[in-house]
Amino acid sequence: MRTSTRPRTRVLLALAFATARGVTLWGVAAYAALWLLIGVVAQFSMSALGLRFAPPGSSSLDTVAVVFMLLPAAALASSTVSRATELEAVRARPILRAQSLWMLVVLGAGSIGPWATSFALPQAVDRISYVAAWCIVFASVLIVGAISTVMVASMCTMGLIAAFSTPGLVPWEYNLMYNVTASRAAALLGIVLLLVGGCLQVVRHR
Amino acid sequence: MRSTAPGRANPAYLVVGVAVALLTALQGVIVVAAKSERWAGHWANTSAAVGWATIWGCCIGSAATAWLVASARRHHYEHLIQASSRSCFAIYRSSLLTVALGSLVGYAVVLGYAVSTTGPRAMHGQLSAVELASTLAAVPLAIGLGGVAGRLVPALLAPIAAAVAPYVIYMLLVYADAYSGSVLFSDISLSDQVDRTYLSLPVELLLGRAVFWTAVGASLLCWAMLAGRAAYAATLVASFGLSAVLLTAGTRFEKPGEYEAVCFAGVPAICVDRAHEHLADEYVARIRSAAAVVPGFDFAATTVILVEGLAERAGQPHGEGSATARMLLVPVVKGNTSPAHQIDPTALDAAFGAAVFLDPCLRASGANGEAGVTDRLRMAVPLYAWWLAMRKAPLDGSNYPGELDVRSVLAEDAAYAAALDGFSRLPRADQAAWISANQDRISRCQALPLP
Repeated sequence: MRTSTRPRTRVLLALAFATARGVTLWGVAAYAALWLLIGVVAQFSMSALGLRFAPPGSSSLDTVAVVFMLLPAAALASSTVSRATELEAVRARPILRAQSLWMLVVLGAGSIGPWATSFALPQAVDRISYVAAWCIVFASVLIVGAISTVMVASMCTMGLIAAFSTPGLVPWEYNLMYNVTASRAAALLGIVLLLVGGCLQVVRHR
Repeated sequence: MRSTAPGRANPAYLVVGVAVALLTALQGVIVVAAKSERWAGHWANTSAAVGWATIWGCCIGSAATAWLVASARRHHYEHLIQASSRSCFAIYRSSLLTVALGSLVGYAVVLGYAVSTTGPRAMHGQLSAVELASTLAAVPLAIGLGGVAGRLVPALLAPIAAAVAPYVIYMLLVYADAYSGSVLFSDISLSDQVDRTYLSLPVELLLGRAVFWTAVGASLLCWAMLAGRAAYAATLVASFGLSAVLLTAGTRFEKPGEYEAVCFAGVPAICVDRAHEHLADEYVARIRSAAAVVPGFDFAATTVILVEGLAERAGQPHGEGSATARMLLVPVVKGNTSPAHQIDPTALDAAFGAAVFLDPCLRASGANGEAGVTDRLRMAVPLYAWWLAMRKAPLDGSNYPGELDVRSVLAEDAAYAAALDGFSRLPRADQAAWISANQDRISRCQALPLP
């Protein structure tokens, strides 16, 4: 006898799947609030002390905004891990398809925040730099998180941001976070790393 | 799961403590070393520079504390702690002490690195213990912030939220300083950027802000550990510390002794100030070796000074008033720091060439209100470009901040490029003869065509 799953059941299953990964209504609201906060802080466009000024007509990213990006990145990365490992272990269907779809949802949620707040950025702030910084931060959390824990991944990413934000540490031409002349290369690198991170997360939880 | 007796240190905490010590020491040494030109060899700046390690060091301590405090929620045994007859302080004592000890060891390593760098070079002064008070205050502040995050923020996100908090506080004070223009915000920060070469901060300010941040950290920790009365008492202490900062913010004391000139007879005569006396041997050697390779230029009546106004303090003849005496200002520049406490050989070479060939013309153009390309510059720029090329220094204006971008000036005007080409092609003897014959005109920037 052929069975079919009704749409309502599908929605309930999807909600259960998301809830098992720590997604709550309050969590989604807090995530949106974090991006709002990042958007507001990015208005200041004050990069870390001592960094070279960006070329005329554009402005470096605000360091606090970049540091704040760690929070939504860690929140999204923590939602890739199931809290109901016992249930996952005895599920009837293979996890690969569901995990792949879930990663797409996570990456989609990770794109909405920077996309929406980028419209509120001041004219002087380079939008590509802003999105590129987010891609690098998020990708770093996903990649390191695939071989360790979310805590280790977010701390390693903070170390990466600290290296880019400390004057004199990373040569200016290689400073992918703040050098607007390297923003396109940074964006490309960030997107590639993001895809790699997404794939690693799927493979890890399959 | 291995259990430990109440109040005893869990061996797992040792791993956290060692990790905190290692990370704090590593980042601290890197951050301090990256700006070594601002402190190496000068005790007052060295004492303040150790505090730079707290900017990210505080984040590490805070994250570790949050991770340990949130472990009860992460492993779902918080109800056991709530039902315990022991106080929160007693339960978390060993873990908090481990983080504190780890942070202290990390900062001690940074201090050791700074002292071992400055010790062999410094000519006077000593390490200031008062300046280190702010660094110590970073430890309770980190633990307080971490304690609050560990109790309030979702367990998985608590460490990163706690790590972000100290840096955001630091940067918010920078914002407040930049947008309000009030010096209070930069003075209350754990790590200020005031150059201690010629100025010192009052002891009351340094101790006041250390007390303030220590008490803020203690207050937050007491609040997180459900010790309301102690939190209230710590808040009162914080207000006393804040009062001291409010009363003394913006106060700076000049250190006249640091301006004293230390001069070295020879060709050319060289004067440095006491603040940079630790550089004197290298500075004198490099300046004399650079002077020796300027063909035909007689430096017998020349005094090279490291900072402006030194010649007057040293009683040397002033270049402007004397027919034969010359004064060359050759600052020590490294990175964005001038005068720096370390010598960048390429920047010093470029600064020496600029002092000999370019500065007289830039001064004269400035004094006469001339703008753009002048006849004076037509002589000076090719000579400076020739000097840079001879010393294998870049011509793109990257030797020191504010340097003339010689390459673009040469590209804009063919006459400059032709003059440089003509002078460079001359045999060395002819170059020396021309410079020797015209050195007074070069020093006074009297326009003349190059051969």
